[in-house]
Amino acid sequence: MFQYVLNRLAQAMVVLLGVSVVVFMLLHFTGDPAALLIPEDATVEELAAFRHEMGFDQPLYVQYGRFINNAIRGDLGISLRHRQPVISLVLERLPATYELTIASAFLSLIIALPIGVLSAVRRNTILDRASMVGAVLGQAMPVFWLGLMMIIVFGIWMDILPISGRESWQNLVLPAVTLAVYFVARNARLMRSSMLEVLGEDYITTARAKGLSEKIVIWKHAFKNSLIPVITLIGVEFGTMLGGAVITETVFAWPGVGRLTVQAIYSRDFPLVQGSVLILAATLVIINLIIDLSYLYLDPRIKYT
Amino acid sequence: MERIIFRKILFSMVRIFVISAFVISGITTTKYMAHAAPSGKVVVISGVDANTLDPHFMQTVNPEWLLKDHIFDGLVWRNDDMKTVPMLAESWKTIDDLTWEFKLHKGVTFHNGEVFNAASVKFTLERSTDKKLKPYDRTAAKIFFDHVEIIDDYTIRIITKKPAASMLSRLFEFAMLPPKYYGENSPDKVARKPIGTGPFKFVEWVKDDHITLEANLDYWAGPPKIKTIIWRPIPEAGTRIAELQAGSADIICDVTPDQAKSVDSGKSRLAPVEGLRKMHIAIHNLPGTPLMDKRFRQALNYGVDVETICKTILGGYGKRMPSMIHAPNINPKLKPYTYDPEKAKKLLAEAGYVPGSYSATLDFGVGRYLKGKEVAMTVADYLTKLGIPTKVRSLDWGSFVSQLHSRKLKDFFFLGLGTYVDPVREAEMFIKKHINNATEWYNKEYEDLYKKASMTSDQSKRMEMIYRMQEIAWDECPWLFMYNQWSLYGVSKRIDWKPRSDERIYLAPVSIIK
Repeated sequence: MFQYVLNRLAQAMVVLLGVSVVVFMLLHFTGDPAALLIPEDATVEELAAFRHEMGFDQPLYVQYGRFINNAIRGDLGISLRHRQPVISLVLERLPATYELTIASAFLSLIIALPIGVLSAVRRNTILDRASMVGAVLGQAMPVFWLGLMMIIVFGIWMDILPISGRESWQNLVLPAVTLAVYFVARNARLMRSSMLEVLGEDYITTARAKGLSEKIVIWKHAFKNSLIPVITLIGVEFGTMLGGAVITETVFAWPGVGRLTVQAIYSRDFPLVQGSVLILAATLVIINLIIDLSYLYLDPRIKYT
Repeated sequence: MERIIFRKILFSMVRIFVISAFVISGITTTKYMAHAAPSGKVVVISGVDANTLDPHFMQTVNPEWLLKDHIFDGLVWRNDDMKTVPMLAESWKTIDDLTWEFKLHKGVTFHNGEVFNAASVKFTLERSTDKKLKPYDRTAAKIFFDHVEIIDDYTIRIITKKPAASMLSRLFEFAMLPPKYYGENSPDKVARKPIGTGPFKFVEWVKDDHITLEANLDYWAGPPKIKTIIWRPIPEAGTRIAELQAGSADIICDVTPDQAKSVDSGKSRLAPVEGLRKMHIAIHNLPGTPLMDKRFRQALNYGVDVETICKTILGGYGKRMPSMIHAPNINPKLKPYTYDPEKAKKLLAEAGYVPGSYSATLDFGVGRYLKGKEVAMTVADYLTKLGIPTKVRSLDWGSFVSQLHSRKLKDFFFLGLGTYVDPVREAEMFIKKHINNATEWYNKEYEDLYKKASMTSDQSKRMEMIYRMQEIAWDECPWLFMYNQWSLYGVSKRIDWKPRSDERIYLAPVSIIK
């Protein structure tokens, strides 16, 4: 397994290199970063002098080479707007994004899994139908709209929760629920399908025939085996959540990396965009590695070499 | 005995009179009559967070310059009537064309205890030109700064390489820094923990969450009335309004006309103000096209009903501009262009334009200006009805600015420039080498007048040149002149704040009324 982990880490390096190239090229094809840094009343000569000072007039391969050379040493550059090291700007905000994403993921699991299991076990009952209608609605509602509705209902009409910011745990409730709704819906449906498939397997029939209680059949045998596709999806969803968190972070003014990255894109802060995308990509790679390793626990038949 | 008593009474009266005179003069010369200790908290919400609190690297009016106005002071200030008044400089005069002498206030200290004096001014100007530091601030370049001479602790002379008629308007933006603190600490430390002489001291900055300022009780002009200011960045307009309605915010920015009603009710009121930003459709003088002909450009000005655009799309917040310069420096001979489609068609015919023969593109940057997309599309419709088929191209703001600077924008582009009060800085928008003059319009007389006006201290001669520049621009129409953008704020009814036309939010004189 150690060899497997080493191989995956080596592959991760290649992935991150690829991400850095793509992001770098895309950014530079979208326009000149100096354009948004120079004051409104600058002259054309001042713009040229500024571009030269900042190294923007160097060939792209020179600029990229400088970036990679520094990145290998852990230096992701200085933000053009903030004038702070990129790595410290991103690390400052990562906890907020992780907090939001983990809270949403946790909510989506503790709500979606029981709903999916119950819907499968009580198939075609009112509970099953209501859950699936709810799931469809949950997937259809845009995050942006849902967030604003939550603000109006809970923040203004009922005035029981704060609307924005990150002052206390109460500030986490609305954004976490908003972000979780879509994933609750999706995971509930997947859990239901996976459970139905497993409940139809021969070993479940055998377990029942042996006289095991329904509770043990469902939760000890069927549930565990149904989890594998759901866990795989959660790994992929974590990436979606990190991306979807951008909208939630914007609506609720949650001070996370997503919002920082979007603002950096708008303001052409190239080092900050490159740095934050790399760090987010590294996060995803590690999460997916953890997900893959969790299969060893879930299914003893799986072995890595 | 009686004489002694009389003398004692007389001396007492004189003493009382003298002490009273000092007290009264002290009260009337301080900026704020703060009799009570500062109290209360005001929450201001902007759309974005500051990127830095180092004045030499600040680039956004809101919130960076707004925060700068509270933490720092400059040598001069621009009051609510847009007039330049003394601040850290008590007085000034020009010694010759290249020398400005400033007398500085005594008894001013920075928040860290350093004394403000001539050395502070010298340090600040020199830091702004430090080649290692590479600051973004361009004040020194714009005033043709050469060096500072310290005459004594409270008298300095700024020597320039060329006459700098815009000295005072440039110095309004220029914050004074304590030499020891900014000289001995790293740029990233000072960017996050600023020290100035301003009415408020910096307390903390939680990135993308809030910045806290507290009243400077030792402020040289008297402490402000409010104890605490919290500045919060909330990107989403709906969320900003929700905070105002919930009573958790006192001032919110960037309210749109369709949101005005929801803001103007309950605990809050709408506070609109006509701003300085000149909204226009720039006309790209592309060689070999009808855009090069003055009559064609004049026709565009007659062919678009800007007044109706202001009434309908902008909810009445706007009216057609009479000049590209603001009052009180507007040439009285100029009148706004009026909507006259018949005259427009006549001008097009005189220019030899055949309707439908030229298809144009109108570029605009998304999400930058109030109702920008709607205005751009409506203008395109008017132009199409005039016989100039025009399609709209929307670009994200970064790409738009990039193409603006590299002169790659198409025939027309929607832009808002010039949040200045100094008429020479406003007139600068049309000079060929201005970064945002992507029209590539050039007029030699205009350029010569601009150069002279920027180096002339004689105010009446300067105004004559500015009037003439307005006449040239009004006749030549490098722009389709539209309106000055209004700024709409949502304000809590518990504070007595009034907005300013230069988009500055200054809270030092503000008090909480309930």
